[in-house]
Amino acid sequence: MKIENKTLRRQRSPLMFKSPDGDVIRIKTERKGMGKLKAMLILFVALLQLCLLAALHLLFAAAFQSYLILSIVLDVITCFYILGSSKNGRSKAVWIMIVLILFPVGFLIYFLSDENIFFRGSRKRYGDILSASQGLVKGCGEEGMSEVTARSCAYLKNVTGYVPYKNTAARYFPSGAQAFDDMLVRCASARSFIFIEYFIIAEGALFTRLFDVLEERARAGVDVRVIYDDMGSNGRLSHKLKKQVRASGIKIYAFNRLVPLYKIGMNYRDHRKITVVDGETAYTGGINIADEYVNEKRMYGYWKDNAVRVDGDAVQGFTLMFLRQWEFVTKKPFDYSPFLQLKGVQREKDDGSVFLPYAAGLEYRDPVVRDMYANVISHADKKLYIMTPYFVPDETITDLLAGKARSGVDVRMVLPGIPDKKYVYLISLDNAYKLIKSGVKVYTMSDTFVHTKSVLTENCAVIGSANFDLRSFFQQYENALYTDDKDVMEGLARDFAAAFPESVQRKYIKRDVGFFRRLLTAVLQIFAPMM
Amino acid sequence: MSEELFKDDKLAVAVKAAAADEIKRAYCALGWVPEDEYADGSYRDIIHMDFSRPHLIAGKDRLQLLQVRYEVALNFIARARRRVGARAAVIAALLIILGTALITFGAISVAFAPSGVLVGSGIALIISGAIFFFLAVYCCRLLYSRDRERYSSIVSILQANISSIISEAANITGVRYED
Repeated sequence: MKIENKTLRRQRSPLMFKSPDGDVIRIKTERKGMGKLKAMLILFVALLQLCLLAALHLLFAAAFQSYLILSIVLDVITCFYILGSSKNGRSKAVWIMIVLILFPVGFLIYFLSDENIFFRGSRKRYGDILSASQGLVKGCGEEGMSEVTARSCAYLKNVTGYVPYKNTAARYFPSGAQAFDDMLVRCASARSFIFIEYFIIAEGALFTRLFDVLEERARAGVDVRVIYDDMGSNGRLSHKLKKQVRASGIKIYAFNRLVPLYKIGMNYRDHRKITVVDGETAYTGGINIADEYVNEKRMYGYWKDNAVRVDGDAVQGFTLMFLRQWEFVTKKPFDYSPFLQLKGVQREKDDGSVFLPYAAGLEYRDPVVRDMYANVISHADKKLYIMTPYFVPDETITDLLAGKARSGVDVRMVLPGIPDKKYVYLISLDNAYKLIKSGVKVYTMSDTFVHTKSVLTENCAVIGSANFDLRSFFQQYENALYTDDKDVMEGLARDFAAAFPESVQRKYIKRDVGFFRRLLTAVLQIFAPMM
Repeated sequence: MSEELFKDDKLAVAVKAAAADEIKRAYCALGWVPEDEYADGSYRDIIHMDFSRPHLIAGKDRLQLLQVRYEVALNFIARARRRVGARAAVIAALLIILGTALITFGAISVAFAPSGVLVGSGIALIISGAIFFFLAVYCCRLLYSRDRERYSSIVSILQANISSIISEAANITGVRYED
């Protein structure tokens, strides 16, 4: 069905053809192909470089036989190096397979992809930023905390330096539309600063609404800063618009610019979703600034997402996350103190709930996202509900989930009914099917793409940007909020309760999964650590 | 304050002309107000429609989900109707091609056969080809009736779903769906 530009109206004629499109109705959602084209071009050029390097290497090996023997020796040494590295078991297995299959260039490909070598500079720079900004915020003490909360706090404090807070109020939003409506109103009343950091910022109705508010606030003297990920927003935020944004007084920076080079750093993206207003209010969740997140653009059915708003002391955690990232992208050190420890906002109702905002990324040696999820899962004794768009975790998480389900915990997982990436969906369902055998209840939400990334147990809730996949666990800059606040937990519980009747509970029947699908899934599982 | 920030939401759709009125009424039940309607410049059976709706509307999340379900169901009905004869047609075409090939090969064998054995084989091939024709007709009818039954039950379920979607939407928005 051809989508026609309204300005080019023409008359209907009986001599015209009938539309070849069988659909009765089509929503006009313009998709720009340039972003995909650019990404594919970059990937193609990077692969070309890799092939060229491999070809040169092979020519060299053909010319000198001793070099070939040396390559094989290096491959074997590389395998030992991989086995001894801190990678997760699955990544190790895949890398060893690649090194051995692609001998004699396997070792070359591995070392070109090793973040310890080619991402060392960025990691060191981030490390310096972290140490310079340690101790700038003071959280609450551990008095009155439950065991699971105390352990999570201790872990995060030791590994990331993020601290827990009390004296905070929170509100849960079960959809992107509700969250952005609230955020817009809050931004419109900003007095000193607005910080925005999102994986995707895309032109559209939502961006226009937000930009109008930000532009007006920037003109009124409010410090407005925006970070977007260059891959996530690739092709969706035009150069012209960025110029317009800058001209209006808003400071905007891209995280990790895309360049057509085989560079392992390109793989590490800023997947965070944070808005901070005046150091008093913060938002986080699964949402990005794009029309599909508020269902004003149709991509994969209904877009299910969520977000949480926090007001009070815990906002400092989000402010600190943003400021560190800002210093990293701008490469200019600055004083954080005007944005932190602002005059305390005493909550009317402080019931002692703990809020623990945290960030994860390559600057930390530990897989913070995975470890936090593992801690939350391992302490669940009654119920454990998970909502995630992708389910490609490592064995630590799958074994924990299976163990919990076998020991009588009510483990439920909600996945999308309509996928955005079909190959990842196949793996997700395959992984979920394996858990069904252990008693995990797996649901897929009908006609819906579930983009929510949340966990709810009887003890706590985790809401943020981190998926249950290996990219979020090991390769991306993520953020989340851990809390035992009753309002948030009840809001999330209501959201799950509303999602179950809208979903289909999946049953694994082996004969229903054909041979070719099983074969394809098995092949895809090999590359799961890279997805 | 908040209402000043939010302009009305806009929706632009391209629909099949035959279903335009039904779709317009359904969208009205979903809270949309028709703004414009115009013909497509290239295809005679396509109509473009523009709608608007207040941004802040009660039950918006539910309405958005219902709208997606309505669109999916409507398109699936059209797809199901198209699929009714598809399987039968493909199978029949394959069997007819096979039958024709056998008859042709048999006829050639009979016409140019140097021995009686090949003449017999040729006749056998022609008979097999004819059987394939009958098989094609049988399979075509069988598959068509099965698919028609299958898809008509799917269509009736989807139509019932559409009715319940529209009535739920009408309850939320308070706009009556008029047949």
